[in-house]
Amino acid sequence: MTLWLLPGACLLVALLVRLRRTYSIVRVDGDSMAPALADGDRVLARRVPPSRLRRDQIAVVVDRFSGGAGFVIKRIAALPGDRVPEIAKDVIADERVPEGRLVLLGDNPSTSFDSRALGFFAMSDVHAVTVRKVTALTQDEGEG
Amino acid sequence: MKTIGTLADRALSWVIPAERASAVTCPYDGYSYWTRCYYNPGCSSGYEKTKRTCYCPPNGGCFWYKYPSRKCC
Repeated sequence: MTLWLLPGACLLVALLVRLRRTYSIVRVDGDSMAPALADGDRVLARRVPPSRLRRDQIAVVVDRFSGGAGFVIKRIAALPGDRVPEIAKDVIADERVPEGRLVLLGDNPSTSFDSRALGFFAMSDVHAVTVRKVTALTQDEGEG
Repeated sequence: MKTIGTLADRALSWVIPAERASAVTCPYDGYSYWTRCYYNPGCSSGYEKTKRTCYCPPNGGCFWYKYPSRKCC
């Protein structure tokens, strides 16, 4: 019986390490992804290589614009080779999205600060894509 | 079923690291940017551009001003 304990424990540790490397739980701050995601929502996000990114996925991206070291969360509107959406042509003159770049838009255009004002995002800055919402914690657990 | 889901999510929250991501809204009251120049035959240059401005009312929540200003390039 005890013979199985050590391999079992190792397997569990390996599983936990893999889970922690692959997934993260992301708390959404702000309303620019409403109605899909509201301020305070928590989502399960999975790290994926750039080749696995798809249009309409919600991406968690390194924030290069506000000077912070955090992340922003926006929807992937166009991938390399796609036509640049008309709505994103405020500052983008290109007809097609160049290699290694993305067009990211918030679901709430009246408030969102995204590719409409910031232009292309780098594909290499994508940290993860969301998988699903996570049930809200109670008030005490949710803070911090 | 819902209880199982809630318990599973709670277990995930213990195991998986938590991060924050900002669904960034327009940054602050008065922030603005000019779009690139669009074709407009009404301008002598043939092009016009639009200024989009962020408005943050005192009761909170910033948004892009609904009626942007325009001028010829």
